[in-house]
Amino acid sequence: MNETRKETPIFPQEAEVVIIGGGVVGSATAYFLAKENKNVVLLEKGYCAGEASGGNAAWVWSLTRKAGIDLQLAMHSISIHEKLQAELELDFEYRARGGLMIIDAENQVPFVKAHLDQRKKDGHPLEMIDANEVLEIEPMLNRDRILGGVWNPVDGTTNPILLVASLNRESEKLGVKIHHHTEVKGIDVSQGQVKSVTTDRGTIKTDCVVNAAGSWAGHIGKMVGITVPVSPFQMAMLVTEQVPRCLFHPIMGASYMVEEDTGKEGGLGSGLIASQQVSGNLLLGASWRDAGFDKRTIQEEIERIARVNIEAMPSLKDIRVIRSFANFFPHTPDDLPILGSVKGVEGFIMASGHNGHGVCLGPGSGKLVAELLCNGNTSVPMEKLKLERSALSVE
Amino acid sequence: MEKAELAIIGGGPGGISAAVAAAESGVNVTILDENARIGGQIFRQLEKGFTLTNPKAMGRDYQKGVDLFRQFKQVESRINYLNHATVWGIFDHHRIAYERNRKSKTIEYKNLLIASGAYDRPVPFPGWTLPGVLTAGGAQNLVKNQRILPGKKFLLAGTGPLQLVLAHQLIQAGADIAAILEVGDVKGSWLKLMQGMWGNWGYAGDGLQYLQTIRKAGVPIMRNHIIARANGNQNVEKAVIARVDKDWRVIHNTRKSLNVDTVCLGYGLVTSTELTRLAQCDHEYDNGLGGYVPVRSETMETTQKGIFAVGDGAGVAGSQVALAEGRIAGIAASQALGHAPGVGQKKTLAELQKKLTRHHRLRKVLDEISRPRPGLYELAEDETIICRCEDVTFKQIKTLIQKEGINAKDIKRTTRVGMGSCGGRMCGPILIELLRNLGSQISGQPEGLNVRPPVKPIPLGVLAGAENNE
Amino acid sequence: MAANAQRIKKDVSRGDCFEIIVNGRRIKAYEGETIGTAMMAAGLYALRSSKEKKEPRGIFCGIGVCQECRVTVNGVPNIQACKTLSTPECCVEL
Repeated sequence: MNETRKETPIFPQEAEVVIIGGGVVGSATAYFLAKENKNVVLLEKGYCAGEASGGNAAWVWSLTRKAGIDLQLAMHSISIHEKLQAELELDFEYRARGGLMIIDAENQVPFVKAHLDQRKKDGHPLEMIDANEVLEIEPMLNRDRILGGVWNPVDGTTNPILLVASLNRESEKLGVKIHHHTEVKGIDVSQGQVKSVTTDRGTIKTDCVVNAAGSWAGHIGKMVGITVPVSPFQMAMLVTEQVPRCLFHPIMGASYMVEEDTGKEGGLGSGLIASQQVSGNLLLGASWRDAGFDKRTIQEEIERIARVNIEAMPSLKDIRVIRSFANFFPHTPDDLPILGSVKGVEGFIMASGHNGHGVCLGPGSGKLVAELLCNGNTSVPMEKLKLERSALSVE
Repeated sequence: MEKAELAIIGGGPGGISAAVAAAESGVNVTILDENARIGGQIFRQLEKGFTLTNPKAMGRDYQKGVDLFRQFKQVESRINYLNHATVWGIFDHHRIAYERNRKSKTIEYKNLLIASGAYDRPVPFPGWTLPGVLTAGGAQNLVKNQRILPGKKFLLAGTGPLQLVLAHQLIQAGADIAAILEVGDVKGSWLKLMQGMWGNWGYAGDGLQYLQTIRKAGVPIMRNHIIARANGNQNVEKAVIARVDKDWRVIHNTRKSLNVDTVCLGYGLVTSTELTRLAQCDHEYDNGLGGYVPVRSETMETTQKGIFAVGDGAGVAGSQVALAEGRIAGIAASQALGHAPGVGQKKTLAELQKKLTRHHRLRKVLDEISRPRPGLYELAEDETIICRCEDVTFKQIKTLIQKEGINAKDIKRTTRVGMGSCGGRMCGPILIELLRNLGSQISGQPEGLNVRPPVKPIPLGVLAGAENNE
Repeated sequence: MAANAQRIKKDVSRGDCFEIIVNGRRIKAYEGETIGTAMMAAGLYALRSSKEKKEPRGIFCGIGVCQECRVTVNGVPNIQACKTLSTPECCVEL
């Protein structure tokens, strides 16, 4: 496609903070910074949740989060979701009515028990429920397969595209300049300090850049000479037609907790991730594989996801699938995001690598980055999330 | 997993003539046809239960179809014809996934020919979603094949000679037509043009007959007129028509109300390119040919080696072109697969190419008259539905359309346009035209919506039970 | 003014005649007719309500592309009336 692009006369010349990436993380960061009266520019190479934030399971989920920093981040971010629901004008369909994990194979039990033990020790216990209770909560489930489950009352679903739109709307009211279809070409660093950001529309003078570029965080990192170990992993899902309400909560299969079942290197991993959107469509997943930056779904994925869901819920058999989609999520070696300042490049702040949990963790990350930049104290200590942590093997 | 030397998707004139040509050369052909029997839309055969008591009742088109069916029958034993087969995906490694009789299967092909056809152009205007507003193709299907008149008092609105064919069929069936609106800027030579066109199709005599039927029935053909609105409670009750300028824009103070219960919209066809796009063929945009069309060589090969595209699905040009293109592609595919050309096929290829050139030259003039002008997409008001599946109104997208750099995918994601059961087939062509007309600073071709399998709705249970090679 | 679809008698003869049930109402259908045709002949044009605005929708494209004509047949939802043949005693819910 040939596109004529002209320099928009109102393109900003400078800003206090330039945020690269307009997904949930970047948009939340912009909003919380703007609330603290920072002069912010948000740059997005596409338009409004065009990448991972625009196609995912849409869950706000903490059930499977491990005790420790992982869970801390999730709980904190959930509280931010609640805050935003009250603060933002545009409803983003956040419904926290509880989340369910189902156990449908014996080999899952020890992993689930171990997780529950950890959570109990950590002070965030989860409730184990029996098969009958599971079926009461979600009658569509296959009574012949359910052995039991885990219930988490604080979990739920949301609409991340509406969330991003809602955050952006408020941000613009607070003075944030949001520029879509704008690609960052380079970041100027001089004597270890960020000086400006160059885009295909012009250069912005700034001494603070937030890298909220998701799967492209590594690409942005290179611009300031650092290695950011974020790589895309592709997750696919199916969307069905709208049907009368039949699923009431997000449902995950406990096979997710069993390492062997989640897919080996180069293979196709899959597990049950199912919910019904406010619009009535069933969002059924999921499968994952290493596909680079290829968004196409493959036959194997589509059929595998269908099989997994039919096994769990046979009465869905006549519901028509109207499309599949896939996105790549920013994978980090230890499944934790990379947040905070970076050694050697003053003014370069990481806010990427949220793996498959960006929707849940995004608002929290935005708040934490804003706290970091405004007063240095963060609600969740960020030591364990820095780029230099040993698990990332980056010197 | 099933295998085919040449897999053909589509059982209309393009697909069938390709199948015949390939089978004649000894190629192992499999046809995947959504319908019950071959013929596609234009040569659609009557369902079991209906018997024609007057063979001429199906019209001249049908006769051409009969010739094709005869050719097909001669090589039928060499063709694997799968009816009721809905292709839902085309994947790497030469694989097609399809559903048939509630089972999902996979075919591995060596060469592929896509003849997916076209469908009526959706045009949004206030009231267009009311029951009683049909496409011309839909009305024609009901009259010709289901033998039912969808209403009592008709308004035909659109452009091009096919409206007159529909009008003739309706009148023969006893319909009362209030008017035929031709929105195009046609001059007096129009009728001669039509006759020339029909002459090219071999319908010379029929062409005159259609006009005579229409005149005799006292049905006015109103040139430079458009339908601007359909009114009614549960059904169409009235239509508001208006005069337009050469850009098809409504001229002030020319609106008139007509009492009708059925409106047939005949604004030409748009290409079904879901499959060629899924197969990653390059496309270019030409709204005189029905929108996106795959880029093809002289032998109908797309930019994907071994994948051919013919017929209306590769550029709306009618059944005669489809027949010729199909044959050319069938011969070319056979050669690519290493089969010796059948007796007389080399000579045929040159003749076919000539025939095609002639067709295209003649069509160009008519296509130019009927090519959509900006006014066609300026009928929508704030509350007019743009996405029928998701009930997204024009108001919800009109500001977005004008945003710099915006594309159809952005609009889809943020407004739900294109997220419904039809897979963006209705709203996609509308969005593209709106972006062209109202969008800011986009030169070249606006991108359309994405296509992701399954390209037609498939029950979850069918996908789950897929018979695969894994 | 109610719409007035009617079967064409000219030039064609029909096969078996039977009944199908639409929202509890018995209507006539002929072999070879789609459910959409049978309903049209019985004066039923509004087949469903639109998603948000709940406005009446019926057959539009007539060839199975637009998905407007979705009805429930024998308990199975989202069946396209314009391309699904009527069968004796089949149960249609709008």
